[in-house]
Amino acid sequence: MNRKALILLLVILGFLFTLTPLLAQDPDAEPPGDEQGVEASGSEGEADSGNEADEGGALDETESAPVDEIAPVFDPSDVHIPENIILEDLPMDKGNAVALSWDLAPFDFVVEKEGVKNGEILHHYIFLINGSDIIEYSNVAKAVKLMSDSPQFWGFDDNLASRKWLLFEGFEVNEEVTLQIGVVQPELEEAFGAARDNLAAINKLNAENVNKHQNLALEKMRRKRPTKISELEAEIAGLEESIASLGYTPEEAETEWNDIKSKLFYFPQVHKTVTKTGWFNPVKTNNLIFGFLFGAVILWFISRARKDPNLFIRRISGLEAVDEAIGRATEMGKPILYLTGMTTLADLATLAAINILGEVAKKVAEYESGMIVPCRDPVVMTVNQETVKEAYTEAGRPDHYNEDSVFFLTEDQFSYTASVSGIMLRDKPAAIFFMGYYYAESLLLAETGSMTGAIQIAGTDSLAQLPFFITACDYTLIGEELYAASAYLSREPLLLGSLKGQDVGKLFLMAVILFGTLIVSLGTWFNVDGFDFIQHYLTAL
Amino acid sequence: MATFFRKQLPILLAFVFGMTMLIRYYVPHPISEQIYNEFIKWVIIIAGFAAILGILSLLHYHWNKIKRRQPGYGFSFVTYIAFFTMLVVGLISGSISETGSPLEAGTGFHWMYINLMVPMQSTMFAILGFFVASAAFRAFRARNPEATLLLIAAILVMLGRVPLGEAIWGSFPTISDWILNVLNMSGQRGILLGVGLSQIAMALRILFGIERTYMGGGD
Repeated sequence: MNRKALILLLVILGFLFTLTPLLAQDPDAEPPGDEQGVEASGSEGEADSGNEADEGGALDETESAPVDEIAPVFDPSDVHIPENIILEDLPMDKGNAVALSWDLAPFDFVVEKEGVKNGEILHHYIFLINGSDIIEYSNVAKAVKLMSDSPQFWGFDDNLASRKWLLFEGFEVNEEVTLQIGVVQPELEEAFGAARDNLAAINKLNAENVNKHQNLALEKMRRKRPTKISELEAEIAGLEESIASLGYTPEEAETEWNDIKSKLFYFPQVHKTVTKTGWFNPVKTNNLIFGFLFGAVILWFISRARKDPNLFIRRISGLEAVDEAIGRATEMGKPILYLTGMTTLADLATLAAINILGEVAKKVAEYESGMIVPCRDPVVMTVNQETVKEAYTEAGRPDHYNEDSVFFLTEDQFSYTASVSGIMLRDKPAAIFFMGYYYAESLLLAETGSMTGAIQIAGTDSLAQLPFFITACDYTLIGEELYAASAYLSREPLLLGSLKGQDVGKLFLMAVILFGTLIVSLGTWFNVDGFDFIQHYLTAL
Repeated sequence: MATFFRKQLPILLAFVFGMTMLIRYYVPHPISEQIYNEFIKWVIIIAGFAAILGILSLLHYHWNKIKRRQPGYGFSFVTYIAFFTMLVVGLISGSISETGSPLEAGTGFHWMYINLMVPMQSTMFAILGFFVASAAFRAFRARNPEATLLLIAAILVMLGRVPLGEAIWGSFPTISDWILNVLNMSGQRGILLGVGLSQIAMALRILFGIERTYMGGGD
């Protein structure tokens, strides 16, 4: 069996394998609407599958017992207080947050609705932080997640799927944080809501008023716009009228709020912890180990390349065409146009584009052809100028370097596109290079270039723009080929060595993906829980 | 000494700052964030000075075009007029605006930006619609088996993305999603993995001074 047939067979097998879920669907199956209804109420805690029958019954009861019909009478023993509450420092953070976790309970599913479930009254939970700040549970309920949803903090453990957690931020490092859980008694709900809203309303108006006064003072100091001054004065008068119409002062609102806070019911247990930080984030250990190993492999291949510079590297047709493109430009007496992308030097794709520019400029200098390099970023322009100048010097043609060949256009995306399109149409370059990272302008540039009849070579790692370049250009360097280009063109053994190291990294990743796919598939088909452990660690990788 | 400033010092700086940023990725301590924020400020300052270089380059380029009467030098006049008009109006607008920003609503600069720049940018972006059509026409010609496959996939995805497709056959959206989420996604992830590894390798080459082209040439 030849290689092509083998590849075709693998593609067909892969196709059938991925098609399996589609074929497995029963066309006569009931639409999942009804089931989703039940699951949606429990979507926050999918792990609790044991109570499905009770849940269904509970929903029926909920529907038949409107909230209004039950008179809420407060009794602390009626209140569901979450079990196994732990307040702890949020691990792997910068030391400004704490986490509160508790065992998953049935009321966790519907708490945001505040009402009745299973015939029991759900109360309005609050958290008293450091004895003064109150955070309401009902406001954050939708943000409450299972601990297993956040492995970046809690790692992987099956028990985490049955614990919920909340994040509290805004503390200092090494600050002692206390937290007390409380309940708003039903008879105080209205007063609590009013006091909270009153304070918020007057604080908002006051802040706006202060801001307007500051602007007015600034405007009076400048003495340039009398109309603006009168506008601001009118706005301030309106704001003060609104404040007066509230019928209470900020101090009174504050007193009312503190008064209601002191009347709320607090469970006696005070949870305490101290915020901490660290010098190493253990969650990133896998990343660090892989980085070290990969780096070591690359450095080993580089050192090997010093001894044996004859390393094989597969043919990249887009780069083979560079000589052809520059030769054509020389024959036609036209310049080549080279773009280094839309991003700054902080993007590695731009650096890769500049590396290729050096090699291309060297060949342009040797052929004594012309070159145009319009830039979008001034820093990139400076580096491009140096690169091209150095390339001309290395090629032994420093006198042919033209200072005007590398220049800045604009940082605005579409102004740059319009300007480069204009250069293409006026100067009719014989070859155009699109290297680096591009956004929506990729097709505008490549299509305009295509209309001029130039040979076009593109190279990008922007997945969204690759199809456009492949369509409109003669050759396209896809993803990693862009980064391999400088090594390929220069044939520098040290650079080629690093490409070999990359291949080993790729082989490793392919093996991990294959292994992971097999483990997940076997675990699913045979319903073996033991595979979860491997699955989790592969996910972490 | 000149070689030191031209070659060794940039490599040393690239190594020190590159390693600092690499290490801070693993350090959750607030100091790590402070260092990062400090470096970002330096970048902004450097970019500010570089902007002056950029403007000088632009003006120099167009001045030479006018001086040498190169083809299309009339556009260079337009560039000069537009540049200085926006500069002057921007300076005046900034001095009279409430916040000191020329982009504040009601200023001349803001008016020019909204009524000149934005429509021109929108025009350029709108041309994309026509270019997509012409590129699609070229890409979807069934010249060989691969191009035919591409054409079929494109038709299925397009039918799955529009209400008309769903009205014709309810399974079009499912097929479209499958093509995008299985076939297309696997290809994309393959490319992304290759790009990720290449970027790590390139970063190492730059950190250890093996790759020096970005400094303006080889050894």
